[in-house]
Amino acid sequence: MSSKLSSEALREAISTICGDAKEKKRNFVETIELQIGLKNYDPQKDKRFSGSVKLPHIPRPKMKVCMLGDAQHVEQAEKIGLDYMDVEALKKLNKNKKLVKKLAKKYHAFLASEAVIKQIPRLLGPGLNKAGKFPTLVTHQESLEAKVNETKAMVKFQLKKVLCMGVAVGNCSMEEKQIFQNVQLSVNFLVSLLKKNWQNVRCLNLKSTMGRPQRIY
Amino acid sequence: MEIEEGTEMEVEECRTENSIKRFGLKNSIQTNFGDDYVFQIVPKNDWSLMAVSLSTNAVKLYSPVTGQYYGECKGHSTTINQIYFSGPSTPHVLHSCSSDGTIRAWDTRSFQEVSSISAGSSQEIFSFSFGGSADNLLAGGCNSQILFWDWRNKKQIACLEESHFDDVTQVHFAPHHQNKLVSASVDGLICIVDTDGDIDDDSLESVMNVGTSIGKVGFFGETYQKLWCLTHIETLSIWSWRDGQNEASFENARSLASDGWTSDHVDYFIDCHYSGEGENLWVIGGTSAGTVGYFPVNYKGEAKIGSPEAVLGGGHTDVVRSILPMSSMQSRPTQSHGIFGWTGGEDGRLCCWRSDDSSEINRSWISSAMVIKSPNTRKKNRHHPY
Repeated sequence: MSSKLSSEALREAISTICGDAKEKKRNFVETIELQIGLKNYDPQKDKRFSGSVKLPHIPRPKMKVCMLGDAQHVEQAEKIGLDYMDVEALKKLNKNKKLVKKLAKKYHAFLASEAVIKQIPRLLGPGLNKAGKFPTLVTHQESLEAKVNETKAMVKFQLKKVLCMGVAVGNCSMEEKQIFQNVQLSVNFLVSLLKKNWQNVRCLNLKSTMGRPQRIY
Repeated sequence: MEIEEGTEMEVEECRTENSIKRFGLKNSIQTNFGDDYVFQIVPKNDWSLMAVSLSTNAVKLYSPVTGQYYGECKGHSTTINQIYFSGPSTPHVLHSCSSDGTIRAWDTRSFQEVSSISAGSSQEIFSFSFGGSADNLLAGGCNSQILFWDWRNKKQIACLEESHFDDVTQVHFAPHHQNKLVSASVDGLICIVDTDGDIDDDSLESVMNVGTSIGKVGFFGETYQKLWCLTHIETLSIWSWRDGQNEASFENARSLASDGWTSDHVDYFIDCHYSGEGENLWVIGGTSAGTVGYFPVNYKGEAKIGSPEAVLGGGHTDVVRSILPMSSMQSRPTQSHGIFGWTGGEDGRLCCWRSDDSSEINRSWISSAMVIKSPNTRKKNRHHPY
């Protein structure tokens, strides 16, 4: 299945978006969103269109991650300047709902060592579950820094009752080439999940937070 | 009629060779004459009936042996998400849950609704399961909540609101551990809840983070201590749910399965199949054109998905949504009547597959008759088509 997304159209759109963003300077970095309009798809009958995908380049730079670590991971976290908490610190929260909620609000995502992740329900209760921030496991066989970057590069997509949805694919401070790669990968991946592939896609737009939508398909 | 061997024997036989077992189409039934889909096919305990949920919001009942249509259970006002036949104590009762917020019970002899439990009209129920140490619990997976009722008096006894933050697509009481409930959600988490005593936030025992929206989970293994998990992005993972450990992850499951399939490409997964013995698992994948393949999953050591061992082609013309193998029948293989199983899909068809070897059939036909012709008659027709 060849991609129907014109590289030319995509490059132009990204150029316009980044150009517009530079012209009118905002006091925050605008997120770039891929907007997908579907057709010939029935949300009540067809299989759910929902999941997470890892992008080649981190789309949201200021994502705060916290390591819930064993001794080894705590040491590594300290070295790379990553916020962390050990089992003792988690015990201090005393399964208090308010405190756990506060912790959940402080970070975008959590990582946890194997020994710690198993204790989370007992130490914290379901607070992190409810916040949608249950930690991702990181083993000692993988690089902690790589895992942090992997976590930051994950984006969620979910089609609800209507036939359009948005996925964060980048931000205006990224290189145009990186935005290009992120969009290409996410489009190809999402289309591969659709039963009729490109026949299910009505239109694709790229849009920065404050900018005008740029049609790319 | 020849005595057929058990179907799981046939699948295992060809594993050492590179031959693929192609199951021939025995019959095809059109369940509706609109654009409606077949969602799920479930058997009654004694296999005298099979219930088929459709996107018409109704459940139709057929004979799994002859394909004869018996009747329809109508009542749900929107999508039916799961159906399940009752245990041996009330064998005629079929249960269904729906996005209309109810779990209903139907008498399959009269096709009438006999009971209904409501989660409230603003809740959708995606999955349900009967269990509990005292066998009195009915659990329902809703829009982030897990509800518990005592089905004997229909009273709601608990509501877990914190374990998930998105639709709970699966709830299953664990085999051999009736007090443990496994729940899975669009939020990417699998939770284990201990339903003994008071069911509250402290009942959450363990959480497995799959990382992406979960569609289906199922138990397998000698003591059903393992869990397979299929996600909405068509990835597969294997877990040891007792200790919350991930045993294998297949991120590019579709590619892995397709690599060993020279004639086709897996577009999605339908289900996983466990033979009931040992620890062998198969993942069942399909193509958009409606061909289905059984792929062996190797999750010990290097995570691999093998070449398809069985292929069901020439039956469907669209995405296949469910498969019911006759091998899941507890009785002796000779009673499978030469039928490998049934599949249902988005073409609105129910296809019946023969378990004898038949690799020549690659064309399907739709039978307008609701009854399957005897095999002998069909063979005659094959040689004299006009």
